[in-house]
Amino acid sequence: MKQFASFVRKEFIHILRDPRSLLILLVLPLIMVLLPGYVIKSEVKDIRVVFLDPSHDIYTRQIIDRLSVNDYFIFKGYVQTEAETTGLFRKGEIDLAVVFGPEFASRLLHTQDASIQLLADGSEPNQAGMRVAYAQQIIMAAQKEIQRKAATPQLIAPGKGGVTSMNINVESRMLFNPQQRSEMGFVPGIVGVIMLLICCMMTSVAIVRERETGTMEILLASPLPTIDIVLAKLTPYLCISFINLMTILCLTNFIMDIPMMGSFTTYLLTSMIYIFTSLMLGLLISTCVNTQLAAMLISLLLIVPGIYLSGMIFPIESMPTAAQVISNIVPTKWFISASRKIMIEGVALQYVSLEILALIIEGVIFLLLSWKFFKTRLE
Amino acid sequence: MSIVSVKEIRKSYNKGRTQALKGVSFEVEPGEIFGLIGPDGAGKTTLFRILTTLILADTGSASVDGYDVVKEYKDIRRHIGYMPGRFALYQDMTVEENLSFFATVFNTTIEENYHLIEDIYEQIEPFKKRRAGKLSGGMKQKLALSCALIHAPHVLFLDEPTTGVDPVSRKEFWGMLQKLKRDYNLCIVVSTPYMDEAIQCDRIALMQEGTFLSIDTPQNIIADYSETLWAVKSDKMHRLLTDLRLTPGVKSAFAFGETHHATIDTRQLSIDGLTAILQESGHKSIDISIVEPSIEDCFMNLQKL
Repeated sequence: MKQFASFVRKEFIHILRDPRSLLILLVLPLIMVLLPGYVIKSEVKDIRVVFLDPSHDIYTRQIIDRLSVNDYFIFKGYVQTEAETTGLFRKGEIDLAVVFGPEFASRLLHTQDASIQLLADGSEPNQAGMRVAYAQQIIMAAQKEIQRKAATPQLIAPGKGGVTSMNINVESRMLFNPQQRSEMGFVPGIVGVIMLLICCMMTSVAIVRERETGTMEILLASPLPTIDIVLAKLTPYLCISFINLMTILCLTNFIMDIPMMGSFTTYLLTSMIYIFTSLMLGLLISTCVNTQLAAMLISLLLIVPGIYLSGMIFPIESMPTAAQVISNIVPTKWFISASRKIMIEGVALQYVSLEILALIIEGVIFLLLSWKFFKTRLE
Repeated sequence: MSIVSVKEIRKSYNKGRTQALKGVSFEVEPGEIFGLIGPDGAGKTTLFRILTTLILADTGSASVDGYDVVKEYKDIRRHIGYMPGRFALYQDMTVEENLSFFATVFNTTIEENYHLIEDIYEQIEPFKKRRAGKLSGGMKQKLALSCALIHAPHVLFLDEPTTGVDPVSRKEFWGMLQKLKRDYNLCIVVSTPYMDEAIQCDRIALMQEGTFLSIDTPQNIIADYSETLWAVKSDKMHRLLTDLRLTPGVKSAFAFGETHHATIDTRQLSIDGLTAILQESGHKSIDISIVEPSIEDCFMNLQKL
């Protein structure tokens, strides 16, 4: 036990005395959370909007008012023709145009084919999509209010043509993230990648370093059991991962106001299992290579495609079947899926049992493989 | 009983293409300093790694401190001190941290065995707060030796401990080894590429390309040198070596410090005759005299056979 403690202490000395390691282990995770969360938010704000309203009736005014008073929209006035809006888009003065169909109120009340066209600048497809979706939501809300007041059953039919028309199905995504806040979707993915970097890359590099600098030769020729060497090497990275997890949770909870919808304990449990799986992957990598550079490159070779296949950036459902199948072996995929469910949807433990099981199975497989490959000698 | 016993050890790398050890056998007695002397690539490090249980031999058997290197490797690891050829301590840790780390790894404390390392550690103690990476070559060796000794091993394996160390520190280092042997009857297996250090060992094995050329005391190896050895000097030393080798009757000639050492077949060539031949080829101030052979001469001679 004393041997073990002394070894762990030595590992911390290595980490604390190397500014670059510290930077990667403690500062990089913060940057990774704060950058997408604060600086490069992909959410849309300050949507400059103009209105084309030929009918000027009570309902169009109601909708216009609702949009204009919303914090996310900036009222930029009225236009008379569609050509005018195109000009404004070209000049980059507006982000969205709301075009009401003719005789809006009467059609709404009588023929039930009142239409609204939402025009957005398609050159920024992501943002355009979000602007439209957000506007749609507000219009929906307005519609419900009108509906309630007028007690008319069917009101607004989808507009025809244009860049986009009203589309109800967006609502299902909005349910958990009504303001389309990008940080919320980002956090589970970022945590997943940070843990891979720390547990997988930094750990494998740390183990291989002993081999590269020749100290492993002395350690192996000493009575220290090899299992102790490995466990002592893993311990500091486990601690650091845990500290990072806590810091990220505090940051997202208290500073970025991303609520934790599900149970904190469930999330913690899932994260710890994911950390275990990543550590085992790092250990496995370390048993296969002899230089720190090779360890780093192999880790990156696993991490980068892992990010793409994890569903962090691109939804897995829209991938080709082959990629979907491969994505099942990416631990990050399971972690992100589970944490989205827990953090955003707020589900209980039993609904993420598949993800947890997958992570445990992978971790155990990595452990067994490392066990098989680990050398009690130099070759 | 021998404390280290090696029988017909063979080891090859690259699937048999490089033969590092071609069947070597030797015994080391308790309280002996045993030297493995040979140039780089002779197989010294491979032999050390087999004895320290770090790699497995292809064939042959070996035991250290009574334990088999394959089956009882865990017992061996408790009772040996090993200092690899490359400085392998933690460069980012201080002298003191390194020493206490290795003490705990071996389940002991610095205090418990301080008497063993006292003489050596005293010399680096003023720098105990300095990081190991910032020490001079000689000090690094002393620290590495202290770390290898801290658990009072039964056998000490030192792989080229004096390589890259200045002559004064080298001499000091051998002094420490002699003292350890004298005071604690410690068995030390040490390798070196420096032939002049061979004389410090009780017995040596001259190694080349994975084989032992000879195993004996340095004195016996020198006594076995049957030829008369001549030191030859002239004003054109570089050309002299070529000229000597081209002269019929000169059996061998090689550069040795300030002179060239040569063996001569006296039935074919007299010393006066050699002087005459060299004068003819333009050499001046020629000086030929008998010298005592050194281990290096013996090595050269054995290598040739």
